[in-house]
Amino acid sequence: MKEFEPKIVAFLCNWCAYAGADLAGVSRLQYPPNIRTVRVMCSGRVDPLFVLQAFKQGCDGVLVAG
Amino acid sequence: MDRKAVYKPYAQAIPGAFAIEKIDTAPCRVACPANLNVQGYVAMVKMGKYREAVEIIMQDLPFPGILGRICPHGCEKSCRRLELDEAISIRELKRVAADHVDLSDIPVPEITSRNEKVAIIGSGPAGLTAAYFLALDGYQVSVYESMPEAGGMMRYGIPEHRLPRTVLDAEIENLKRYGIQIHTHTVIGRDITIEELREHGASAIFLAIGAWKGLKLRIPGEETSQGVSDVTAFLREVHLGNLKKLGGKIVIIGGGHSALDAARVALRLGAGEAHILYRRSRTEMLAEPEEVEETEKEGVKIHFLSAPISISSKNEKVTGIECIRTRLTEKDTTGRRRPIPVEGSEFFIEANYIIPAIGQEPDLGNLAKAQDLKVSKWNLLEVNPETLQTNIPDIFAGGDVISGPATVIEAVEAGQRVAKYIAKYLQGEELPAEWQDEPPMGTNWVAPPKDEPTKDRLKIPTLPVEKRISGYEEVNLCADEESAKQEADRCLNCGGCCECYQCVAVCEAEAVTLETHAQQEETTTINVGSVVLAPGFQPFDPSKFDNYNYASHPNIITSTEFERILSATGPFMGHLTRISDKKEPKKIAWFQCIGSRDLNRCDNPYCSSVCCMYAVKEAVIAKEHADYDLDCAIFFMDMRTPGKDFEKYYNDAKDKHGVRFIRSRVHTIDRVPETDDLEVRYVTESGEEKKEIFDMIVLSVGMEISPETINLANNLGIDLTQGNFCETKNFKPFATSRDGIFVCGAFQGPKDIPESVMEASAAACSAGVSLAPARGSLIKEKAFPDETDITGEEPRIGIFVCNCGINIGGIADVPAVVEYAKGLPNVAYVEENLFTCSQDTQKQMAEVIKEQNLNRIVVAACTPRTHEPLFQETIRNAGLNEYLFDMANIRNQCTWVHSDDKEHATEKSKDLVRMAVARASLLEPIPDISVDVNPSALIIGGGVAGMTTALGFADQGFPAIIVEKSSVLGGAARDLSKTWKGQDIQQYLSELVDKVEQHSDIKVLRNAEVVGASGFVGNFETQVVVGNQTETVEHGVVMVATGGKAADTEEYLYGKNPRVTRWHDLEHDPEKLKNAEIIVFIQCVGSRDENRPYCSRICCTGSILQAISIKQSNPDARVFILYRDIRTYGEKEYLYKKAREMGVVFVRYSLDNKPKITEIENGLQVDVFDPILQKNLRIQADYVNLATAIEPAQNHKISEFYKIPLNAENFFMEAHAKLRPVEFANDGIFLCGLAHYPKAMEESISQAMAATSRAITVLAKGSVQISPLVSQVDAEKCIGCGLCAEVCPFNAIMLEEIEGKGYRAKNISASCKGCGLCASSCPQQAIDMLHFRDRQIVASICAAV
Amino acid sequence: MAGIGKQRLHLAWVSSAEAQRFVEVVTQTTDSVKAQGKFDPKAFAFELAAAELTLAEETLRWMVGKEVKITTKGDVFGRRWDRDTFESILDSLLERVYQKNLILQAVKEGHTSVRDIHKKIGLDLKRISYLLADMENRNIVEFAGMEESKPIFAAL
Repeated sequence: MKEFEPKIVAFLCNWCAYAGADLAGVSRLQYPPNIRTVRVMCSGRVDPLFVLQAFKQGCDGVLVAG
Repeated sequence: MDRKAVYKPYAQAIPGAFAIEKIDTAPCRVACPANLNVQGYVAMVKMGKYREAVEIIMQDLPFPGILGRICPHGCEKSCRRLELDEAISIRELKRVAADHVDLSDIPVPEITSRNEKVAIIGSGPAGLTAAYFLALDGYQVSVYESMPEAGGMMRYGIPEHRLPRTVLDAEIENLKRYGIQIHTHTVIGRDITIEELREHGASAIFLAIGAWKGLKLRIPGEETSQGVSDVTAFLREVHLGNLKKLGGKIVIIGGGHSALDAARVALRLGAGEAHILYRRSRTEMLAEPEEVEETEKEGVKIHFLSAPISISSKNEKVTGIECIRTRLTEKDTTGRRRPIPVEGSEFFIEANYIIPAIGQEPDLGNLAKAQDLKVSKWNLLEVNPETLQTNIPDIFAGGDVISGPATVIEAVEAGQRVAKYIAKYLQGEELPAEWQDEPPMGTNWVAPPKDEPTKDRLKIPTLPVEKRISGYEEVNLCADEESAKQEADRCLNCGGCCECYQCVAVCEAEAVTLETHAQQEETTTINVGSVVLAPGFQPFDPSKFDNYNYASHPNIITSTEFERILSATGPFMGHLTRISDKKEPKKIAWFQCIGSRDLNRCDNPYCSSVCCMYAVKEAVIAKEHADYDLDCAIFFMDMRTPGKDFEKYYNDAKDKHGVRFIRSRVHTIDRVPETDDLEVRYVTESGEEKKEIFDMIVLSVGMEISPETINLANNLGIDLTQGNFCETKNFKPFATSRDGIFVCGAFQGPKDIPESVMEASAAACSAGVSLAPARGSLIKEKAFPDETDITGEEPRIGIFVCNCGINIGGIADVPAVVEYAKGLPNVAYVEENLFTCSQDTQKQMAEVIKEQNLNRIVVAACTPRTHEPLFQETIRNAGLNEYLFDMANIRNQCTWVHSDDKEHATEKSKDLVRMAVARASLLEPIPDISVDVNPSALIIGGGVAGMTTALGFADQGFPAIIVEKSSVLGGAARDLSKTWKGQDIQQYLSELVDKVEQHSDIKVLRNAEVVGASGFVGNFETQVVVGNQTETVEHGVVMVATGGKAADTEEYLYGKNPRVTRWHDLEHDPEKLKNAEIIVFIQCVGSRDENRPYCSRICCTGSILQAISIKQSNPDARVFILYRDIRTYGEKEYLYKKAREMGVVFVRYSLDNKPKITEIENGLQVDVFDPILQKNLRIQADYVNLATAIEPAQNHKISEFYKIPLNAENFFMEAHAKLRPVEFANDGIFLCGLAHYPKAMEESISQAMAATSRAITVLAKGSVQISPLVSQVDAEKCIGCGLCAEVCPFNAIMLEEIEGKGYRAKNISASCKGCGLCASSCPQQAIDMLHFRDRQIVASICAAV
Repeated sequence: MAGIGKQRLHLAWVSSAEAQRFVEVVTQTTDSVKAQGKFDPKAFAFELAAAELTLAEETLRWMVGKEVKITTKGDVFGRRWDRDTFESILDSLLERVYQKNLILQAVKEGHTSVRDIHKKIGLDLKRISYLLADMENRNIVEFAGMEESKPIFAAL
């Protein structure tokens, strides 16, 4: 059986974590392919309801990074 | 530098493009008559790319295999390898390439056919080369050859053992593929005449008939004896097959190739003996030595220094030749040594055949006369040497017919040349009348590597002698591939780029083309009103210090190298690694002041300002990188961290991170035997000798101005300081000594990034003042088409999936993503691009949008942070609102980070595209918001900074209002007398005040205070109380220049004893110390302690200036400066040195053992512990002067009014210390002067100019475009609770009273940053964010799974 | 609280220059979520619905929005709460609202008596009665009569 690969929604702040993620790409650093990024203009934009929405859709995890 | 000719300057270079190093053409190419790209094909052979090698050769000639065998390779004489060992075997490498390639596999390039016909007479190398290039150019070429087969002397002169006929035939046959017609057995004048050629349409005729008539010996018996035949005739008969056998003995006269050829052919025909007579010695022989050697090996006897006298015969048949020995004279005027006979040295050689091989001339027959062609006295055709045109315009001539016998490569040159000029002639261009000199050979070549070992030249295998004579088998054999590679590898690549154009072939983006590849440095003249110099610095090269072993030990590196080690894009991917064994270092030491503060060994007496801070930073980051206990020690003299927040960082490094700071200069580094570790020896402050072992040492190298920059300064005629920095005045720190030329950055003086950035803006401002009238005159406005109204349309999404070359396509399965995207809802169009961002794709995208009526676009490519604006502009060009766009980041956040997991990368790409599509379906057009700007500035604070900005604004035509809380202008500068460069501050200040007061565009409000503010960029309203009256000022920008002052103190009896002063007090009353004998200065009073954990930056210089001034007026006065670290950064270091030289005594004290002062009769007693003497020092002082801290003005209210942040010490906090040092995150509000941090006068002025410059970018536009991605309040849902206004960090939401409804929230678009905090915290969920609406985000979330 | 598990939600601060840190955060998050196993929203549908109502609840959103003000400047009465106090109050409010929403969900599903509700959501009987009374006062549920001497409720 294939290993369990969770789906994780990642809310990334455009100015911080999203930029950090871009830089990780530029630096060719490798990480697991499980996150699905939702870009927001600020992590303050992430309404807790969004997080709940992700779980309701069946996401296995949520990451909020600002 | 160890890099290829195509290189990226460095990993983070911007633009991130590659450059091609073009230097001077390699000497071998210059030496080649045909200008063959030797370096190019040698490089190809090295890589085993034979076909490419041949293609490169065929750019310049059509005979790679022929010239690979018989070229006399003059190029090898200029090979720079000769400086090391022996020349590269260039000719053999050409042969190796040619022998591995079937010419018919090389595609004929696309030729655009032309109508003009050219007739070429003679199919030798000159004729055929001309035919080749003319055919490539599209002309109709016919070659006429009198002999049975084409090839000229290559066929009828050069024997098969040197040039096999298979090679010759193949290369001539190949020419037919280019459309060249060759007519053999056709004699001009007999079978066809020149007139007939013209009648048949030949618009130009090239005579390349060679030189086939042998010269005579002119000795007795030559004409009368049978068996004498010139060499051309002899060889021709052999090659025609008429002469197959030869008995007896043969003597050949001459020293060229044809003499050797004839002798060797004679042996092969069966001659019993073959002799060569040559009147000079071996070294003068025209044939190359290896050829002479092989000839002798075969048994030919060469008689050097021998000349024929007469031919003997019997019955008219040759019996022998009478000869005489010769000797050579000294060099004559032509540089040659002439042979003269030696009397009485006659000798006789028996022979049956005599072959003179002493030269040839053309056999012009009737041709010249019939055509009225001019002939020289040497019986050669006369031509224009540049164009090869004869006196008859449509007839050109070249090759042996104009030069006499020469080499094939020279004939090729003639062919190239004539092809060029015939083409020009046919196009009706005017031909030059005279010889055109080539530009002189440049010698800017790649230097041979320092440690290049000597390598043997390729030995060419030859056929054993016993196998040769029986036939015409080729004597020289082809080198094997491995030897050829090794030989090619000996090439030093003198010319940098070898112009092999392999990069052009592989560049799929077509960024490198033959045109762009040819780009060269150009010199252009630009008319400008101002010049800003920002040439920067170079890091000091420590290899000149032998005691630090930098050059000889891999684990001793510079700080800049260490930065690379720490960098994620560095050589070890950011993993802490030492060079020698690639292990993680356990102990690292930093040595400060390498190449700084050191006059003796490196001539850099100044302090480089930045090294202390960067060393501390490197140590902390190194510790953070290491997931083990890394020991970091910094060896220093004075810790100089006077920048904003630097002292806190230094303290944290010590206290939190455990970086060790050792106050000492290391004198010796020794290798620890049998390890890669290093032992350092140093003496502590108290004189104790210590040793410690480190496994890595970082040299904190200082800044230096490069020789190139010094040269630039000299060329521009601007003055330099003694440290070679640009000379500036303290009151105009950005102006050079020459009007209109400004300076910024480290060239102005050693400085860090924030200061450089500030100064850059300041220089821009100064440059702008003189250019103000020209503002905007060179700008082109960009016009967009009208926006298409998409209201009510169903979403029709177009998706562009980018391969990004191989960045995406090499990992994710792009076609699969495309296929998948086609099936997503609302998707109307999907395409795949190699580079979606390329210019042609942009054009195509705009067309597709219109054709397919697309109303939403998704690009799956890289990151929107860099590329969204580009695509937005494109869709805007296609009439779509720019917000109907989204990106799926499948590169930076997918293929680049999952390159080892192709399957998941493809899955993730599909998911990301699906999420973007889901969101795109819900995107709506958003109109741009633009607000008018009130073109005026309000300046809070009337000190030097405030006044400087006021003048900056007003001089560029923007009204300014200064709000000054006191009754006078001048601020903190009123407490100072002189700058550190000795300029008079009070005089400057009064001039400045006058200028401000007299300027019609500046209004000064004295005794005034800001009491409230509202508004946003371009439209502020500030309430100011002046006296008792409150007035409202409307303005476009705010300049915060609230200043600072010297703090009071209660320490050291200040305020209690009149003998204790502050340095600012002393500035006002310099006479006070006139008769003092002993003065003690105490530094850091109230700075760098618990209450004020910052360095006040300017006090060290201030005290030293005062100390110097005391010493100058009274050399006998004894002056003590009690300090913690002397921080005379930059060129202020000279003052420190001067003070010490004048006898000022510096005693260091520490924070936990401060000096103590007691009152005594007629003075003060100061006790301080001297760490060098290791004992207490007691000084009976007349006066004690305190360097008290610089503290900011009361800034809290201003901070609240404009919502601009303060740090813990009440200095204002700029938007970004390095990138935006003079502005706040809130648009339209700027900062300068002491309100930002303590600083010297020139730094305040710089910063003020910088802030002005930044502010003017707002004011000059007339209106500001603001991001329309703002919050939107639903007035129906809103209950006016005001929570949003409270949480908003930017004052961008306020409550507005609506009649009958109470309060409702209202967005102020200009202030809104779109963060969405209000939306996510609204209890009523009445706020949504444009472009990031709840439903748009939720759509992405729902599509994620 | 809804039983989804803390390990499924991660918060982190990553600055634009911290590529390495971003990688660490993502790797940790992935590992930790992996360890939790597959999440089945159907199994938690009941709790998720209650949690959704809770997060949309006005008082709670107020409390969160006012946090900075209340802990640094004080509330409308000028009382400044320290962070710990604030957080414990917020926690208890959160618990209370969530429990009420669980009850509401249960009632909507037809678990109308206190004991039925208890069986569904496991909260103790006394707490359910107490919260039901409060919900009745706020017109969220109403008393719908007696059934076999048990009071039954209906959602409004």
